[in-house]
Amino acid sequence: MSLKSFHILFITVSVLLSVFVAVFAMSNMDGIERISWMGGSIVFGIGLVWYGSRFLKKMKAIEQV
Amino acid sequence: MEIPYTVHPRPDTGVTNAKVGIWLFLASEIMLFGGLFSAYIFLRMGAPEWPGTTMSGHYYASASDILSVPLAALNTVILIASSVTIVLAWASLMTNNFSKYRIYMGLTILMSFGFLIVKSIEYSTKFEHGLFPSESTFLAIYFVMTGLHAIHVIGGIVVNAYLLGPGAKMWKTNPTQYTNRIEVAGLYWHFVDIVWIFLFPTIYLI
Repeated sequence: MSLKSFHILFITVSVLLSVFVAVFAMSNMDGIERISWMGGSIVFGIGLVWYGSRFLKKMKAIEQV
Repeated sequence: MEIPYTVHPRPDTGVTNAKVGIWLFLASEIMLFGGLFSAYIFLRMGAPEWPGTTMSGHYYASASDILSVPLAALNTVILIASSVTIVLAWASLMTNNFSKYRIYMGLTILMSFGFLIVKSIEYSTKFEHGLFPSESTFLAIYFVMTGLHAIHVIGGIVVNAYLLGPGAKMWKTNPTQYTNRIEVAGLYWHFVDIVWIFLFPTIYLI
C-alpha cells in the first residue's frame, strides 16, 4: 500500500472518528458543552472530507506529470 | 556493494525493499498494539467498575473524571494535521519542490513536539494529583498504552529530524531514493497517528 492509499484510509478513519465524537457528545453531554463538541467535530469532519477530495485531485495531477 | 531495489520496485513483490520492510515492521506493531487493546478489553470486561476506585480511595465514575478529554482532542487534531503535512512534504518532493518540502517536514516535527508537550502536561497533572500507574488498573493500562504511543512519536521525530537534517544530502545525489525514504517515514507516521485515533475514543471517551 502506498502512502497515498494509506493517507486516504487515514482520512476516512479520521472522518469516522469525528462522526463518533459528534454522536458521543449528543448522547453523553449537555448544554453548551454538547453544542460545542458536536459542532466542532462536525465542522472538523466536513473539513477532512473537503481536504480528502482536494488531496485526491492533487495526487491525480502529480501522477499525470 | 549497492543495495538493490531502493529506487525501482522489485519484480516479485512489485514494491521497493524499503516498503516491504516498513510494512513488515508495521505488521509487528499492529500485533503489539493489538495485544494491548485486547488486554484493555479483557481488563475492562473483568472489572466490576471502570475506572472505579483508586488505591488511595478516590472513586471515579467515568474516564473523563480522571483524564482531560479537551487535551486529548487537541492532541488528536495535532496528529491528524501532522499526517497532512507529512503527505504534503512527500508530494512536494514528487514535484521537485525541495523548499516546500522543508517547510512541511519542519511543521510535522513541530507538531510532533506539540503533541509531546500536551502529553507531558497531561501526565504531570496526573502525577500532581497522585494518580500513578500503581493507583488502579485503569491508570496502569492508560499509562502503558499512551506511554508506548508517546515513545513511537519520539521515534518518528528522530527519523523525521534525520531526514530533514543530515539525511537530506541524498536529495542531491539520489532524489528518487530520498523521496521513497520520505514515503516510508510517512507510512510509519500515519501508523502512529492511526493508533492514537483508536486510543482516543477507547481510553478517553468510552
